[in-house]
Amino acid sequence: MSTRSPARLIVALAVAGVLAVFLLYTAVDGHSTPTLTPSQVAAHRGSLAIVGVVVGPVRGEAHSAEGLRFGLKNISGRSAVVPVVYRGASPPPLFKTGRSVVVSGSYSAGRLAANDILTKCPSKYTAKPSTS
Amino acid sequence: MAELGRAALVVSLGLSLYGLVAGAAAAVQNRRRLATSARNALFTAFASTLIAAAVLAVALVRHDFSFSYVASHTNRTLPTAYALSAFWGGQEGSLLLWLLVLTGYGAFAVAVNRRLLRDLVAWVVPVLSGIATFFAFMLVAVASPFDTQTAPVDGAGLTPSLQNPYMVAHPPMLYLGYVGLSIPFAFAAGAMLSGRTDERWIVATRRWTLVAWTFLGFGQLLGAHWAYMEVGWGGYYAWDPVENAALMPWLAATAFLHSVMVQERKGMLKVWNMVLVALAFELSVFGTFLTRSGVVNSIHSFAKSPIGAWFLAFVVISSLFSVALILWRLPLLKARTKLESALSREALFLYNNLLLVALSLTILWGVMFPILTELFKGESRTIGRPYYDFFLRSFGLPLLLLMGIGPLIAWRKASARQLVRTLLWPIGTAVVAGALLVAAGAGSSTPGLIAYTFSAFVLATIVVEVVRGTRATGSLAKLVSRNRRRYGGYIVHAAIVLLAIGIAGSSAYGSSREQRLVPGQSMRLAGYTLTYRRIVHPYNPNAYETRAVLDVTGRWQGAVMSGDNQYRNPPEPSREVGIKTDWLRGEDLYVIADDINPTTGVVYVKVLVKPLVNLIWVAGLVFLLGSAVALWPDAREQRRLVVRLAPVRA
Amino acid sequence: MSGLSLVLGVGLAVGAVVLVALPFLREPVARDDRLDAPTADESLRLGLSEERDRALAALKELEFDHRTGKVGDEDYRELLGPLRREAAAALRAIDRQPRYREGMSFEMPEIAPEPAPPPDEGTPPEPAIVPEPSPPPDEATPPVEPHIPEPFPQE
Repeated sequence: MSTRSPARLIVALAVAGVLAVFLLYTAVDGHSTPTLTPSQVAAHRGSLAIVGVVVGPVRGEAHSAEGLRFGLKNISGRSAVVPVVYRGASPPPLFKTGRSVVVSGSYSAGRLAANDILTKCPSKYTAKPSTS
Repeated sequence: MAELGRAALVVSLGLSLYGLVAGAAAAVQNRRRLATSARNALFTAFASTLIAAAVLAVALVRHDFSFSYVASHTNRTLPTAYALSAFWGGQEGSLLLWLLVLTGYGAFAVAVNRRLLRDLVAWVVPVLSGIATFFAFMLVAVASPFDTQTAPVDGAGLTPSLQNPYMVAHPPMLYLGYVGLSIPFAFAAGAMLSGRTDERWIVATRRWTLVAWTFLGFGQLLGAHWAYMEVGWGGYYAWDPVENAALMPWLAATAFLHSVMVQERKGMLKVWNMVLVALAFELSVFGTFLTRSGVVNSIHSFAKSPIGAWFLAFVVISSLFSVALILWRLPLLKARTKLESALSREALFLYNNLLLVALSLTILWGVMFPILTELFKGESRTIGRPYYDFFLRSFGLPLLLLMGIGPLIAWRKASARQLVRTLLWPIGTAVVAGALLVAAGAGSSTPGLIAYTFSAFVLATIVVEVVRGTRATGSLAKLVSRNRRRYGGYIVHAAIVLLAIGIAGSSAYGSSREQRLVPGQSMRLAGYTLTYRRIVHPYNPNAYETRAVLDVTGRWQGAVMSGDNQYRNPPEPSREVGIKTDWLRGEDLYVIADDINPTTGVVYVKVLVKPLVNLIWVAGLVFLLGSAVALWPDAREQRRLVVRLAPVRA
Repeated sequence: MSGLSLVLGVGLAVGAVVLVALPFLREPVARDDRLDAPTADESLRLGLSEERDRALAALKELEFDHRTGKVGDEDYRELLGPLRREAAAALRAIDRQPRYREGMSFEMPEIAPEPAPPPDEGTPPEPAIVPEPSPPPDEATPPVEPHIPEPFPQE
């Protein structure tokens, strides 16, 4: 009583459709950001994120014109320190020197102009993102 | 006492290994006593894991800091309830919880089914034991909760933001969900291994799947609620890899819940269901791998740990096992009937499944992207929020629509004309609702408007179903009581609709503003005027509290406070937001006071207005209700199944 | 504490071994050590009873869907015949099984010609005698058709 089952056709079309939407979307590359360590950052420019350990001294205020200034170095292994100027909402409460963070912003001329800080809590369960 | 804990875990490992080997041998060689012995091993593994868990629990409550685990996760001033919750606060303890739930569920599932499904259970035992062997091995050899040290005077304490009833309930609930997915997987594998072609495994595991799925879903909502209130960035879901780790298996399990209905009724989608249940299981283990291994940058991750490699190996091996099993039994899994029409309930279930799995896989891609780019390009790239939002909308909105059409469409083959006739009222309701919404200003966001209109449509279809069913049966109580799974399902659908409305409202129609304020200064947002008055320090025995007080006028009259806490033990700060809920409108006024300067009194305030966000939490309760109705045991059906399954010889 | 741990630990290990060995201790020599797997006969019967339940449930659901308007009159008439044939075939196949004995009495009970209550997941499937809004379907119902027996005892 059943003619050729449309099931295969449906699945094939569906897979094709999803693939198409997906490729279309990720082809628009602007939605992924490089997430680099401080040692990898030198060759890059523009919008990116750096994963590293906060290096003091931490100076300034996030809300002021000069921003919050600190440095980032590799979590493991040696690396140069990348200077960061962060402007925006106060960094998350757990932000301090020695903590691992992910800082996003725009990198040029050897400096990161940051607008977002995400802290990681290595041995406990969770930490807090900045208000973003 | 730590030695007892360690010994108990070694015993669990030995028993699980025995259950795996002896159970498999018994099933292959058809040996009854050996099969019973393997089954006993599984039961006893639960008992010995329970002993290990008791040892840890007692150590936590007694603040026995000779246990390294107790010392690193609690301190003397911690109240007992939170000391106990530290059980699952760290790597080793949470692994122990996993093993406990696994052996507990396993023992229960096997015990309940051991008479009626002897041949099936003979294979379920080695599969479950195999999974238990892995976790027991991790606990014995890689991450033991029973490491000892010279006891320090006091422990390190628990992060203050975890000292919260939500965080006490959230992990165990998630585990009851994650681990629960092992049961249908084990029974499915058992069915394939035993070479049977009947659907007993589905009937036997129906409740298990539903319970696991409910815990996983509700556990996620608890986590979202906690994040909203405690973490305080103004949102409830950040598409963080660890959040996604729970969402992916949940979506796969949702698909599975639906497609088994098709297999039960039509004998179709057998291979698909096997793939789905394996996918749900693998995603749940993979999810816990992501959480623990530190392989992806996440605010939740435990430290980068060698445990990751082991978990990855387990996921790879168990996936290969599942694939091999399905391929081997492919001839047995031939469908009884075929899909006859692209417009039928079977087809709609298929579309629903495709959308759910597609969403799950796109999330998986997003989570894996940083790892894959690191591997193949040398540098890692992270995918941001817009990607996830895009696909949530692209797949979620059609899913919403299907939720409305599905229950009202006929099986096998529906005529388009009949369908439109049945859907006339709901379509009309949706159109009217849409027009009213546009008039009320909802046109500002197209996806939001679509979500609202679809939601109206689905709610109307549920009403139509209930009204027509009541008319045909005579009474609503009788209708629901006789069709518990179906109407429980409709209640769950209503919960999802509420969730969709809440998400749409708070994201598409929300607003926010940031401003620097001095005392006396005001800011305005969406009908609220907030005036910053002063700084106060409410009393708290455990912390130094700083709060900025703001008077609110306009849509709401009153005062709201926000600021931070400086905890003393352990010395850690936390952000404290002020949330004012307007239950009548379901909207929240969310205030984050930042950078409070005690000398100048300057504060930076971010205010968010989140319309309808509280529907999300209401949805959680409705979700529980729906599941409860669907799970409600039905004596008549139970009897029927027993009669069907009872062996002929006495 | 260590002494107590030792005793408890040993006790645990011993207990575990005993429980695991229990089946062999109870029956050192077993007459029949075969696993109670369903025989081919039983497997067949199980499959057939699943099919029968499926067919009868589908019939009930069709009738209910028709009553609540999901299935139109035309579609209803079109779908009813084949479903009834399937149900009858499933029932006949079960009857042919030897030693079929699901607690069913050996006389075929008379079917009460009343509208079947709407399908529910709880009651055993009942004969699909439904009030026809229009003349009975054309497709020849099998001669044995109307006497679809009650497969399960009513409680």
